[in-house]
Amino acid sequence: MAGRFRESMLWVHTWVGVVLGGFLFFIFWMGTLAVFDQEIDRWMMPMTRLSPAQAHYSADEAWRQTWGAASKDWQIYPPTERTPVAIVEVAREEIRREGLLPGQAESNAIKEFHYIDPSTGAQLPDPGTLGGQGFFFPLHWNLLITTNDAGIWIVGAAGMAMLLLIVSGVFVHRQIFANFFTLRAHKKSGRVLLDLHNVLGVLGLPFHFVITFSGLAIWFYLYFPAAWQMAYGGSHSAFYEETRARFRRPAIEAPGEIASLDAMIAKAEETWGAGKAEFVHVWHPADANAFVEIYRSYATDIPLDPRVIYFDGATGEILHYDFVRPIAKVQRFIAGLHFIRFRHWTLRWIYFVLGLTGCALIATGALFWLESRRKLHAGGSSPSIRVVEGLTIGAVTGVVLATAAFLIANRVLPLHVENRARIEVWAFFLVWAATFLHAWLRPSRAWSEQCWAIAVAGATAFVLNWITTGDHLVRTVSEANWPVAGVDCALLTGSAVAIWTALALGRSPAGRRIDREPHESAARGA
Amino acid sequence: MRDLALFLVGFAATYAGFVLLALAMSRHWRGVLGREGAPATPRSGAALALRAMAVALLGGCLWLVVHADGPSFGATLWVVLLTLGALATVATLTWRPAWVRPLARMLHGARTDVPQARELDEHGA
Repeated sequence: MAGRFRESMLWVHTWVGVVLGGFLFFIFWMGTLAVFDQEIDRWMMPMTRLSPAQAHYSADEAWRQTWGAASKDWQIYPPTERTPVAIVEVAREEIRREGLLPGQAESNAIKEFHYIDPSTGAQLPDPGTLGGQGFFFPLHWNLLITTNDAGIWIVGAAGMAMLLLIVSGVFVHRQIFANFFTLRAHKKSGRVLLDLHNVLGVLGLPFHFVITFSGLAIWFYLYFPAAWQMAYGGSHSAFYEETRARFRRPAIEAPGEIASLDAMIAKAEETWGAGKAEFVHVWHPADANAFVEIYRSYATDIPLDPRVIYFDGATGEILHYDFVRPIAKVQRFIAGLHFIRFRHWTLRWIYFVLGLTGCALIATGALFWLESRRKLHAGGSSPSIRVVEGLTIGAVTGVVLATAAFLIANRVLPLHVENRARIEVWAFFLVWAATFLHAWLRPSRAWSEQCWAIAVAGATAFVLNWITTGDHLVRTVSEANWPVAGVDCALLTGSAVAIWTALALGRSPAGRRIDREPHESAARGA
Repeated sequence: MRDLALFLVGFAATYAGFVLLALAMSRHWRGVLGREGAPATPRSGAALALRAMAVALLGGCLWLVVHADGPSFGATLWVVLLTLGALATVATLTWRPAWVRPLARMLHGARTDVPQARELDEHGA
């Protein structure tokens, strides 16, 4: 019975892995990049490479400068340690807010974005890019598919599949304790791949499980709506107001003015004691019923608890305190573990590294399957293997190469080019599509050739940043410009790893050595 | 600076803890001492001592990071440090077993001083 259970787990693990492995690699890769999304933004938006603002910025100044009083909706993100510019988002027409997710249905199309240097008050040119926060991060959680939340659902299904893979993987593993810490690097490639897959899977299990589970828990009300629909008669806003104590009031179509925003921010920060204001939202700006919503920064603790305070727009008096109720706090903690909006550089770096181990876990699993299949077909290449191998190459080295292409496009395109941000996105997807084509056209050479391409592309992005901005590594390090120095170091490290991998592949031609160890039962099952 | 120091101390503790745990397993004990005609397993007394030290190191690491960074950051940091320490242990045992050999030799040598533990060998690890 136990044997049959293991066999069925192996079946699940194999087929879910084969079908979704490439997609899961994509989500893990984008999530890993999103750990440093704001640092990638500094690299991709050179005009925002300011030293973290010590100078006092003024929300009132920004309000006047961007004609807040003549807007229908006005929001400001004050400068922070990671994003040292003030970002103002203004809508000149009424924004229709609907749907389940707070802020989800806001149309960015009718918004103006202003980037303001906090120390001088000068408006910076439009960055002309989606950057890390606008591209890698949304790719990670909604694939840029926003219609009917379809992207979130697809990523959620993949997340469930990942949980299934993690759990079934534990049962499939024959000698989880006897082989703890075991990596037989001198054995044949199939054995090494399986050992690597096992070691990364077993030792990385806490992180991989928590990151997958917490990712799913973020959208609990979408994925598992029955609970709150039953309790609140299907009204999401009633549920939200009860758990989060949110405040709203409509415009009354009478003219009004906004009191000092800086005074409200100061009052909010005094009320919180610790933590700065991270987001200020003026509702119905020119209306007598205007109110101001101020969010506390998430930097101080793991739970996403913004302790929003609402002010009356005209008088600057406090109207309402938002607070997270205890049961919601559990969810906010789990979500906070995933979002890493907290300030903890050690954890941020470890998340990045462990995210990469997640990518490696998925890639080694896929490679092991390919290796075992080749063994079944005695080294010949059946069409099914070629299809899966092409998909795997495009999903693994291809997406890395496309990422580098996105960065290169960002440094090559001049700032004034029309639709600059869109061209960067096209560069990403065209290069990515090309890697699949390449993988199917040259199956035996594609792995190493794409590794070489990654090595060249990473170094090219590094050099282009140097040429176009003058920020080379010596300068960024000496000026403590850590975001740019960090991305540059990551590019060079990535290039070095790609060269090393390409050379290693060259030594064992196309990794085609076949594992013939007799006790290799997992291969039989696959 | 403080963050870096905390990371280094925490990482060193989980790394050392997992190296000791690995040495208590016959597979890795042999892997490290293999060519010196050592017994297949550490004697049970040594294995117990290794495990006790490992638990002390891993537990001490938890105490340290929770003490330094508070319960929520500390506990999170501890969990991810466990993975990093364990992965570093795998890399050491695979590519640099010589780093651990002096420690294993020391324990191996200590063994001859305690003959009464010999009959427990079969049960070791």
